[in-house]
Amino acid sequence: MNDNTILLVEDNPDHLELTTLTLRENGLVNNIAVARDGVEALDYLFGQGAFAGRDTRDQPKLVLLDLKLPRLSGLEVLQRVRSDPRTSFIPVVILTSSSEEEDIIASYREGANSFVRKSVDFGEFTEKLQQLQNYWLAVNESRPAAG
Amino acid sequence: MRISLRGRLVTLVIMAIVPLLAMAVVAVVLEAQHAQTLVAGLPGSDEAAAAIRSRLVVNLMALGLAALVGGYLAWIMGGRVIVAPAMQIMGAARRLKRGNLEARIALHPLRSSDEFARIAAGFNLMADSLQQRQKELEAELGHSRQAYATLETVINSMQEGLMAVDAAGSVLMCNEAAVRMLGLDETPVPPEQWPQRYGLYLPGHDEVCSWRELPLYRALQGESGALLDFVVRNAQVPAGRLLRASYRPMKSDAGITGALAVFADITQRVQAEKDIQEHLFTLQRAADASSAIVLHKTLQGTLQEVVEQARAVIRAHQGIVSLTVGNDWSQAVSAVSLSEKYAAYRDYVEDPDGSGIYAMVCESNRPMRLTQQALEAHPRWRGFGAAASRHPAMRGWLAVPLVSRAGENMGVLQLTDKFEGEFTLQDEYVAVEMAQLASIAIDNARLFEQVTELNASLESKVEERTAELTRQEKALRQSNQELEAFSYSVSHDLRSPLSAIDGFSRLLARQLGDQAREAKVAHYLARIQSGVAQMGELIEDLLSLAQVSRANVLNSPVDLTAISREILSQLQAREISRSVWAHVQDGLVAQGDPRLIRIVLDNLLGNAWKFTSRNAEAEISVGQLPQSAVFFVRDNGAGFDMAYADKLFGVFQRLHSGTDFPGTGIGLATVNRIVLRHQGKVWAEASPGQGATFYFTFGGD
Repeated sequence: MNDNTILLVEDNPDHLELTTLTLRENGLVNNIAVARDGVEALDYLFGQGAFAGRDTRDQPKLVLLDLKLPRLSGLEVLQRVRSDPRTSFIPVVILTSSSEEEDIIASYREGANSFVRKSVDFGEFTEKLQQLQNYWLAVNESRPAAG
Repeated sequence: MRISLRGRLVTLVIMAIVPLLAMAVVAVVLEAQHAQTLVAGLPGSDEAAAAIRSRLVVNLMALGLAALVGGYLAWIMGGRVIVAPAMQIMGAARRLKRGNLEARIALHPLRSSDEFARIAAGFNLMADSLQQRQKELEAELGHSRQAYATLETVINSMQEGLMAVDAAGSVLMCNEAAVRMLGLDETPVPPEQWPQRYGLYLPGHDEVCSWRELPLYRALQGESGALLDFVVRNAQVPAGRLLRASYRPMKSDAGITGALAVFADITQRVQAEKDIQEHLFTLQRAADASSAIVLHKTLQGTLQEVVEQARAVIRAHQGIVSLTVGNDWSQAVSAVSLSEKYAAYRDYVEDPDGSGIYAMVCESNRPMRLTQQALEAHPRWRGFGAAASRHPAMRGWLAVPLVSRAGENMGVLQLTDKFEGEFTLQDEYVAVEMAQLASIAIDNARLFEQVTELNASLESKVEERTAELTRQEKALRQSNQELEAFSYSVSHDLRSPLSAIDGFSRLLARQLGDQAREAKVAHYLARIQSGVAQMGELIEDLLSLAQVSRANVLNSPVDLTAISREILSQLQAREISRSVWAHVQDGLVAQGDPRLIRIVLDNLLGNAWKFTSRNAEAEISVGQLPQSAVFFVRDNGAGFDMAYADKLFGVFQRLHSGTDFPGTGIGLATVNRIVLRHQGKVWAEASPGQGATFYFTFGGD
């Protein structure tokens, strides 16, 4: 119950560091899983590849998904997540530098729960992450695990 | 003398015997009467009767003697008084009769009786009158002779022949012209033989005509006329001479006494008229031909028409027109026209190769006209070539050059084998005329073909160009896609390192703790963060500009008033400390894309807000010019020098330094682009320190 795992899908090491740092400082998260591209993200979620044997019943409370990723893009990852019953209800928040209309529209179309733009201003960014964690990990009641 | 003597005797007898006889008879009768009376009274009267008879004989004898004496006396007396004057009178009469009009009777007044004197006077009077009359007649005759001579000169001077015949047809008069024209000779022949003798024909007939068909005969029948033509053809005039006669009968009370005919030699006139008619006809045909020739627009069509028409007009069996290209016969284009005579030959026509005699025409640019004989004798005559054995016999050759406007030879028009006779000088003229026309038509056709080709190449150029444009459009689309990808990259990739810099600089500050509050460290960190912020803004603006260029422009009513007020209140909210008097006119509505128009107002009002930041009493107003679609945003801020107005709307153009008024220099470029995408305009009026007004429209005026 208090296993507030977040899956952070981010290929940029700077962002990865800043984001994980911010998330940890906040204290709501006790586990941050990291995937550096789309394939890794799916491997983690479906317990395959490098994550083979992972208990897929234990899914993260929130996925923070970048759009521009090596190998599989964020949107492709989202498609797979939504189309698989094991992951279809996991809250996915798009966290990206882009503010392209098309990206926003496509993200919602594929079933993103939220679209958040990374601010250049670190203070703003920290603020946004704070709110995200509060909402998705504390305010929001997530769907009970299947079975 | 004999007559004279007899006259004298007769006169004597008459003068002597008559009175004597008369007296004797009277005496005898008186005697007899007396005797009778005596006898009648006496018996036996026989003797008395015999006596009486003898006395009677005596008486008679005496009477005879007396008569002889009387006669002699009368002879003498008659010679003096009667015979001499009578002889004078008779002599004068005889002289007069012989033509001596001077003859007069001069009688001796004493020896002639009054009667003779009167006779002589009358005679002399008569002779005088006769002599006078004769003189007058002679004078008149002189006049007549002179008149006749004049008339004869006139008649013989006439160009027309003149001939008069009597009722029997014998020639009464005939002038020199008539003699010449008819070839008359000295020996007269009866009119019936004239046709045979002089070779007289009716026009178009080969056999001599009948005398009855000649004008003089017709006139003798009472007819008259003015236009009777007949032909004289004989050894002297083998080619024949065409005469046109007018004729009329000569009449008197007794009826037709003869006939008169006047005739003119119209051979040359008729020939000339015929020539002129033919020439006119040819010219007419040539004119018709020329209008047919110029109708064609293709070279081959023009050539064919030229050769057909030329052959028809000049009336030849064969025609060929050849067009060379710069004297190169291998490139020559030809068109052939053949009559039915050459129908079988049609397939054997060889294109000219420049080796024949026609090449001379091209070389000299002058026409040539040869009889068949002259042609075949010519050193450059090449014969009929391979088809010689099948080629029909020809008659004559006429070739004229085709000359371009520039005077250069373009080819040759050849006609061979005239329908009738040889080619004439007139044919040559006509052919030259037609060749000139043809040259112009050919020139035109060539030009037309060039124009057509040019058009075709133009069309293909247009097609190429269209294809090129299509390619370019495709390339443009691709580059647009690349641009989109680029702006995506910008938005994503450029901002990523910026947020990293900002993030780590803040983490660094936190890590430094109190040290970070040290003046220099704090300053450096602030500069890093400010640089990051500026670059972030720049990227945002560039993205906005790119989006404006790519976005589809919607067309709907946009409430400028509401948007302006909203933006102004946002600006106010951002800087609560500022006091700006803002006024937005009610009911400002434009037609366009709401999102893009919002960007326009964002930029213009943002600028106004920014450039009035140093004004103690800042004023910003938004409105519309009366009776127009021109909107404006006005402020009383820093303004700018109009000398730089043209740089206002360019990308990265800034009229103020970043320290005075920060900015990216992209905002007005974005405004300009949006307005242009609405088919509108944007311009500004300003002066330094006096504020600025930006006017803008969205399409229309």
